[in-house]
Amino acid sequence: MTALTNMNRVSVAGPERRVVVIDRQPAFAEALATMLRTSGWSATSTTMADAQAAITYGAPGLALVDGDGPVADVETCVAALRASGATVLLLVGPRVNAAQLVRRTGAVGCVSRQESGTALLDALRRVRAGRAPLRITTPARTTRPSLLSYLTRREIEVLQALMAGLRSPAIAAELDISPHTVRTHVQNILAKLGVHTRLEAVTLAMRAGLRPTSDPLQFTGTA
Amino acid sequence: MMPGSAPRVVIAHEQALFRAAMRSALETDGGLEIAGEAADTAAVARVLGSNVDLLLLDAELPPGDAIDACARAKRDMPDTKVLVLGPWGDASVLMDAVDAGSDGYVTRDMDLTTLIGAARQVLGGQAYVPPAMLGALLHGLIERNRKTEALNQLFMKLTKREREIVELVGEGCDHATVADILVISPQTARTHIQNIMHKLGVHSRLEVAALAMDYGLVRGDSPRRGALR
Repeated sequence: MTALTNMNRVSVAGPERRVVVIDRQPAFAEALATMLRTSGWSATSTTMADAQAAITYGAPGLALVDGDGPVADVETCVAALRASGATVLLLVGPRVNAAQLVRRTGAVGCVSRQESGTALLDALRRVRAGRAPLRITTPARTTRPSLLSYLTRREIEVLQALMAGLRSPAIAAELDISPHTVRTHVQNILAKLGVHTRLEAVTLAMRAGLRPTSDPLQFTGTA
Repeated sequence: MMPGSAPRVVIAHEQALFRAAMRSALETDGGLEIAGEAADTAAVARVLGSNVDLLLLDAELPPGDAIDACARAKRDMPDTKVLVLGPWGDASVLMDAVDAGSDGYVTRDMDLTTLIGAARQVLGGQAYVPPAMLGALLHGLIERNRKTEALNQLFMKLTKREREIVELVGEGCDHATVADILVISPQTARTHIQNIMHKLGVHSRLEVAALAMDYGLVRGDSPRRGALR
């Protein structure tokens, strides 16, 4: 047996193969705990909101924490777990800057949600054996980024308003900005999408799966 | 499904860890057998086929539209039940799933027991929608009916030729392109479009396009050749 890591000395008595899964998706957390149990771990699961209760109940040796939520929530959760002596491994999706998150929270490492079950089990074994810091880096998204991903949040809003058939003055009123600003947004959108008319931008956006703003239809002139 | 044997399930989700976890849970706690996994929409068609009873389909499965994958699965394999896993509270995804012929809808904030219960219910031939989302679903369907009715009234005013032009405008064509495709003079195209705008009660081609999309004259997957590069 290799030297015990910190967590095992601090955690309450119990099997050292103890792990808690904390994720915003309860069914996934429970399912992952089931998977870990079938591989010999003593695994439980809980939601982010109930994490504190789980910690009070008995500090887990290891915790797998959802790293994809609001950073402040992740930080709070990891801090509480670490204070109780647990070692924390983050579960991260492709949209998260994993390295930065690990640094900020003091987690021992992270595992991408794209990894196989075997890879996760391997990571857990390594952490338990005190082989830290462990980091399985997040693979880049394999799919080509959508053209829309080059737009800012505001530009997306303007584009959605265009899709709803709104004209510049209406968009200006809707977003509480000047018509001139709307024009600038629209021009930037056209430039970024590489099209020449609003119509082309709208059809492109539609094809990319963007939806218009909530109530698109103005039945002006309808009776 | 063969009597006495465990129902066979395909899990379609982008994340390998999700698939591995669900595989384990559905087999251990759900009494289901995992027949295959799909990491993207293209793989769904490949994995489906050999006597699969249930497809658990994530609504964000890339690339493209996972709901289209649901519609394709229901078309190609009508006996396979589809359970869509979508976001909580977004009735539009739920409505799209219903439109695509999905047999049930579960949300990411559900616990495992509820999810397995939904899978069993769907396998038993019943529909499943989270009770708390039923209201939003009904409201959405009624609202859409009302809107469709209003749009029907509007588009009834158009001639057959004008409808053709609305389609082209909806696909991003300008006057010249419309004229080119329909082999009419640009001036005639312009007049048609002006008549259309008048009849639909709108003031720009952009609004015409928006209405055409809502009415379903323009489909997201039918780009007009050359109109958009």
